[in-house]
Amino acid sequence: MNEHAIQTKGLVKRYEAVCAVDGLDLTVQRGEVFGLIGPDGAGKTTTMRMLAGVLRPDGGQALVLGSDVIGNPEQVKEKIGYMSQRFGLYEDLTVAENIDFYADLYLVGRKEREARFKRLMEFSRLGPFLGRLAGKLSGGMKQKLGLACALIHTPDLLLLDEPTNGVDPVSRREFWKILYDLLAEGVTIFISTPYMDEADRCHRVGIMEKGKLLISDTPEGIRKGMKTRIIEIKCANPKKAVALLQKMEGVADVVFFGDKIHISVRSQKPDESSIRKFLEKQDTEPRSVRAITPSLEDVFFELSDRP
Amino acid sequence: MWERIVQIFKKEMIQIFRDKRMRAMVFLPPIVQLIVFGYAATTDVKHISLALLDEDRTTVSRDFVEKFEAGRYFSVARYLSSPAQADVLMDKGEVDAFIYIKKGFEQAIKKGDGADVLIVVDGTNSNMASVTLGYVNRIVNAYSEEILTEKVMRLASLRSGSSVPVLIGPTVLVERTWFNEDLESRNYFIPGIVALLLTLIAVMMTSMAIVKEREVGTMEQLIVTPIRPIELIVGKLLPFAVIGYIDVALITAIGTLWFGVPLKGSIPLLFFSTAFFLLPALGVGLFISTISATQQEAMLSTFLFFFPAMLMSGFVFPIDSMPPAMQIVTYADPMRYMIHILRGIFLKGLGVRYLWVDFLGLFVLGTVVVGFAVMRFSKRLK
Repeated sequence: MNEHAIQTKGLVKRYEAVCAVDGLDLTVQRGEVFGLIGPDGAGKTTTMRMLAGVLRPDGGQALVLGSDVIGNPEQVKEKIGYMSQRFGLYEDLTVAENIDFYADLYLVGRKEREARFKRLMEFSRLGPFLGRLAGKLSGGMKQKLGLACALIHTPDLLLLDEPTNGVDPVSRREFWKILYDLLAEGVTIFISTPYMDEADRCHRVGIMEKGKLLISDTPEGIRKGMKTRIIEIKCANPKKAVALLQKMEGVADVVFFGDKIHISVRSQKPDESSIRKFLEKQDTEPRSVRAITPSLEDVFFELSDRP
Repeated sequence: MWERIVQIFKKEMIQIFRDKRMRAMVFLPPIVQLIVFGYAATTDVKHISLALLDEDRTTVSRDFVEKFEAGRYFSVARYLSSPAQADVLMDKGEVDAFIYIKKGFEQAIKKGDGADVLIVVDGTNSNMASVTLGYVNRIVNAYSEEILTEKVMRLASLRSGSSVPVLIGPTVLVERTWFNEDLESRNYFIPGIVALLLTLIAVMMTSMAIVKEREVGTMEQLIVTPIRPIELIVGKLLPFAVIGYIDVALITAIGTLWFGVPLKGSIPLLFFSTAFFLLPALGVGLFISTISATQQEAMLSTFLFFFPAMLMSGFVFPIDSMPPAMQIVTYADPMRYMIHILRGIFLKGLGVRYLWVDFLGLFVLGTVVVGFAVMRFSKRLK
């Protein structure tokens, strides 16, 4: 048995002049939650679709659960569950009809279906809405229904394309709870998200931009490897401070964070004390200056070499 | 294999009958078409209004005019006093034809010189004009024959002195129409509506239903299931075949029971031929779904196929009157075969013995179109 749930080498997909995925090398281990993060247009959906066998790549290799999805996309379909970015279910069918339809397409046996159905209802809490048309569900409910349909055949690998996009925070938290339950059952989860904060919920993350994987590691590993230090500053006169900091040598980026200022420093030179001194001299009355743990968003900006 | 087909079929049926517009698409078009072709769209020419200018004003000329008024086709709408008036009336469209009897009509006939009558027909509607001329010819011929017979008989009785007439009349044409005795155009059109509607359903509804899955995004979710393309295709096409059958039954029932269109052939054969026609029609629908990205595109492509196919099918315009090159093109039109089969079954009561060539044509065309469309249909996104 292959160790990896997903393994790609030099995966390429072009749309006319644009290279949506540009030589992607990616490895996802069995039993982990792997998060693919990156801005819109980074190539996340295209990658997802190629792995699900929905889209034919223009080059490279892709093994999913040990089978070649490029040469034989059908082989692995029984074993994967996939949720597309857009709601892919029938809005004019009821919740129950949608689930039944997918159970039928996967030829799930009656007995197994009953057990599975009960289990799905438990965690998704869709039970009271079985007779409702899917189109009349809220955004969070729709995503849960999508997940239920993708899980009806007990897949080994779940491919989720931005499942929490546009979902309220409460539903988002619930959704993740469900994912952890699945993980405990041994399901591998490959999830993409434009939200950097969600990456911390994953075992490992890959940061993608312009069709390329910039880095792939655990969230901590990524942070450790970062050269940039993030320094948080509180002061009495933030506007003036920002203007000054932008001109300070060694400061890569200055951003407001509510009433605080975050600056990125990409070298050792201006450290906390020197910054404090600098600001004190300029009458901006700094109250606190301290280094904080960089977020993955900061990592992304460092890696993509944006200001 | 069949389990999945049945599931797709079931899902499709629920969707069709749950959607108000789709439900209407099943029952409304056949009824509208029947009303249009049953009542309004008739090529029968009746009520031809005449403008008359009789400069002769004799009993003979009046007798001649009466021949026109006697039949059920003509009525004299205007009596004119000069030929120029006819121009205006024709322009306005108040009269369809103009009859001009010159002075000396009676005299010419009595002398046996032969008299001239001018008839002018509004040729804007060429069909109506030629039918009108046909009627006029028939009336004038009958009139001439009458005069001739009378003269011959008088001549004969003068010579022999006896009253036994020697008939040496001209050849008489006896007219009989078989199969649509009353020449009712509705009998001609209503069977054809079956082909018309089957085409619309099979091509438009099918292509739109498939493209909808792609447009709405449900296709993507279907693709990741282990369903095979052929299962998906059959499952998507079958519901529209069923709807096609419902409409065939509906049109046949209303056509025969309400409009009195004869159904001389067998009903089983009618349903059997429907299956043959659905093959190429659904194939075209499937093909259109492979070249259209949106439902609107699918609808436009349908009409791009539908109108030429209808015009070349012989539904309205006889194929025999088309130029030879066009006649060859009609062999690629599935509607052509179906229209022939339908009229054969309805009006002539023909069986497979006479219609097998059309069945073969549909089968060959269907296999080619379906094969091509299936090859193009891919279970992947582009």
